[in-house]
Amino acid sequence: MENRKLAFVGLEADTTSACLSMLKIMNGRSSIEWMQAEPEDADVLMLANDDSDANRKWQGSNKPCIVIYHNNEDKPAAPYTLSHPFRVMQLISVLEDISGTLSHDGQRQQTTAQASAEQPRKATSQQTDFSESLYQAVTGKNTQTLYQSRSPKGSLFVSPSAGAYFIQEPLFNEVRQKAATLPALEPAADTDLSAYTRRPIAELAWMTAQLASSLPAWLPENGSFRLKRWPNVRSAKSDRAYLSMSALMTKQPCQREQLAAHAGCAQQQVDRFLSACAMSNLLVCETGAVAPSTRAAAATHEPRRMGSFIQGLRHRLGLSS
Amino acid sequence: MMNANASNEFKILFTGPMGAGKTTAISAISDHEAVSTDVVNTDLAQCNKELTTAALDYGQIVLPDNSCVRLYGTPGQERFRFMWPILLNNAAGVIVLLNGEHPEVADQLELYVNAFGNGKVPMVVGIGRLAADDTSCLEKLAMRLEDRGIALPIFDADVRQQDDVLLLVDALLCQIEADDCRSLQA
Repeated sequence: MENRKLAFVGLEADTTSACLSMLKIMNGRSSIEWMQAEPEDADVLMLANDDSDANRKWQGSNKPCIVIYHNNEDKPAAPYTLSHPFRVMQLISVLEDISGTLSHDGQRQQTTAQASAEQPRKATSQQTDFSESLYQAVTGKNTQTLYQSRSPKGSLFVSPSAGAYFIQEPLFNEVRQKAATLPALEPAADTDLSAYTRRPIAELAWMTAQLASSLPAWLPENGSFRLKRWPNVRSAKSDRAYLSMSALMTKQPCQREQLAAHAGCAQQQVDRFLSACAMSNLLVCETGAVAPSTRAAAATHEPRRMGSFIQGLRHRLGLSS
Repeated sequence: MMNANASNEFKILFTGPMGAGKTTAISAISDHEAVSTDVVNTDLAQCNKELTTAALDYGQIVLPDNSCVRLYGTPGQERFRFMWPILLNNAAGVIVLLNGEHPEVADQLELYVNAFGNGKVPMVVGIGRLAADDTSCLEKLAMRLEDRGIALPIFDADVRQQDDVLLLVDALLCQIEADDCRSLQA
């Protein structure tokens, strides 16, 4: 077990208290144990988002700093940030990123160049937080009926039991154009949603999945996946690959590579599809199962004949091959 | 699994209740206008249209290798139900068309799924006349089948639009293809 020290600088008492509670939850479940220390002794600092002398001093040091900002403030230009209030999973994600950097580098450097290089990775990490929280919300057995993601550009609500999410036009346009980074969902109190447009969760799952470049960490890379029912691939821009994967996965569990070979598409498209299906609560993952093999039609007369029929009909109807 | 009645012929069925658009769907992709056996509709209570198919519709598509895909539309009236298993025999797949405005659309879906292979024959479902963006109806229908362990593609489809009919056919072909892969498992 590796030990690391964390210090709080300029944070409000309730924020510090919440962080300490989260650290207690994390400890024992992670390979690193975090404990509170004075700033001088700490490996990592958590700073308030202000321009105080203390903050400037520590941000100029070589210690990694996580800047905590309120969700009604602009995101600070720092390598590591958290929007308050945040969830334990978000804190874990940031601390793991920093631990990885500390372990790999063996030294603590925070140059401006590093900061700019970290920005895309942080955006991805935050997106993973949102996708994981959406997955947890739609697959959870708890009684929570409404979740909220608060971003500087507005709020989005998710009601898993209604199969819907609620969003206002400006934020929807940002999300659709992949211009908004949504913080993780949090339980929300009953809210008047009359000013919001109701849209299907599957659409949000689809848009969120398109932001990922690989399989999200919360899905097992070597799992066998099957579908409980077909996704509405039509609303998610119909594509033969999605039809092919859906057809196979509703009949048998499949591994990622198997799906890419069957559908004739890139692994990234498979991963995004699996992610979208998971966030729509359509995916069943069987980590221990061995996926039945599928082979190209060649062994018998009958499959060749059906293959020729399928190809011929697609050709005649002008469907892409 | 042999799904054709002669070595160079294949059959796709279009089924569904009266007025669901079977004749229109076949005409949208057939090499020629669907051959229909229309009669005057005496069941205006079920569907308000002048003519309806009393026996079956027929269309065909000739493939580049001169094999033929025969497109059959079943009669919509339940009193002609005795013809369904006859038409289903050796069919490569079934396209079910339903009217999303019908209050008993879920029961109708069950009826046609049960009658046409109970989920064992490649099948795709097209739901017409849905309100724009009303995906909840599709979701409810899919979940009803899921409760029985049946997973079928269910799309909203306006069969007057050729692209919608092509999507249904493509989804059906993908299912046939997936069945082929499975039949080749070692």
